[in-house]
Amino acid sequence: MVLILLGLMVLFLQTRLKISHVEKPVFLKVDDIANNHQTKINIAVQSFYKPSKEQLIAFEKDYNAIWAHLNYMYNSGDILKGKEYYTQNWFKLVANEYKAPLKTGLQRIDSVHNVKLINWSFDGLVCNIIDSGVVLKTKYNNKVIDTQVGHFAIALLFQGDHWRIEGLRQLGN
Amino acid sequence: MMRLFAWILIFGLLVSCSKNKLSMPMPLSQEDTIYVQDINLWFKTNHKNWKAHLYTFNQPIELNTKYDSNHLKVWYKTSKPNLEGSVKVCLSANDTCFCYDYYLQNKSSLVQYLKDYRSPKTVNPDSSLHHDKIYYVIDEAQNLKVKNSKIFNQEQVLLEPIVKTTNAIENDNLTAYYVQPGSIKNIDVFFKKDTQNNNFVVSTSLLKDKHNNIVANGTKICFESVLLSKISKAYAPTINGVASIKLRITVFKGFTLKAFSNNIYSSNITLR
Repeated sequence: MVLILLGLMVLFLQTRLKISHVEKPVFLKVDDIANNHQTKINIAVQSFYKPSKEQLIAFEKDYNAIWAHLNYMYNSGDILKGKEYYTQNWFKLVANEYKAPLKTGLQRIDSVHNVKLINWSFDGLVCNIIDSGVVLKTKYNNKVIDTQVGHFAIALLFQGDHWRIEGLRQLGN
Repeated sequence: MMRLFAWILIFGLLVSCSKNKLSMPMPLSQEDTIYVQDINLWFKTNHKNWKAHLYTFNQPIELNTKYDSNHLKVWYKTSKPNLEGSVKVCLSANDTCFCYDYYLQNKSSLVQYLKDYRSPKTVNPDSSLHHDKIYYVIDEAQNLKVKNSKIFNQEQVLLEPIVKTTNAIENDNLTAYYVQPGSIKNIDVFFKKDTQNNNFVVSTSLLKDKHNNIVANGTKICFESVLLSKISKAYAPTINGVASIKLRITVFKGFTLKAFSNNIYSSNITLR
């Protein structure tokens, strides 16, 4: 009897161990990187088609998460954590130079975004933005070593419940 | 005694700090622009154990280093394209890091693609033939390109009211959009007698929308037969623009029949 109980216990534990290796679906994952990222995003809608209030809230949340993961990738070299926020082509691009995560001690932090929605598609699946006056601080071992202001043209696609970054161009002042 | 000990301690700390502090390597290469496929930078430094990284917009890339008589060579070769723009090359050692700003470019021009997004994907001419078109040019490293001094473009396109499937980008079926037929413009109804099988074969004319497109397969047509207080209804879907039913001659002889779909009615005919 004791042996049978022990055997059942081992089987139960094995099953638990197996389950823990399976990657959870996106909607069950807690995205700590995005949740812990805080930046100020000012949005001005200039597009022909206007997003609804709900669409705008979802866009702001995803755009915040995109920068959280871009910074995480910049800091750690880990391309996998943010894959939900990259289109297939963007992911292929970052995978080109990926070898292993790196611990370099360098960190990028974004603090302000001024987003102009230039184009918003009729079906709400494509959007083009200009993000200007983006304050980017570079830290090394938690000390700020550089502060720059960047301006970006960014193409985003809504795929699989998220806005994802598809293309980018750094703009002059 | 205590004061002397404190001074010795402070002096010792200062000496150890100055020993660890590395001076900034002097860049010997004059260029502001570097090419990701072939990076070659030289620095003058008296420390030889520097680690070098290129920070693109996306990620750090470890660069190769070679130290020889106060000169540090930083180099990297790849065939892969990358995102262009401001980047940093950082040299780090002993918890010290020095970063240098460059503009990163690809050595040769990359393959460019036109992205053309249409919405709605399906257009029904009953409502509107207006179509939203967002388009831009992007290269194989996801660099957005400037064309005619613009990066992003959006247009409202008026589509032709002809039923067809069109690829927004040639040979790319994933970019297809569809003009579907609208609803029926008018209905005529006919019958012929099939005495051998004791049937009236009742058919509609070829049903078309207001733009002369044949209506969609499966459009439901109701055939309503009336004789005094008797009303009978039968439904049939259109196939290639025509819907038809069979009614028993012995049952329906003398009935008045009309066909309709939504609010479009045919004229009455009498089954004889």
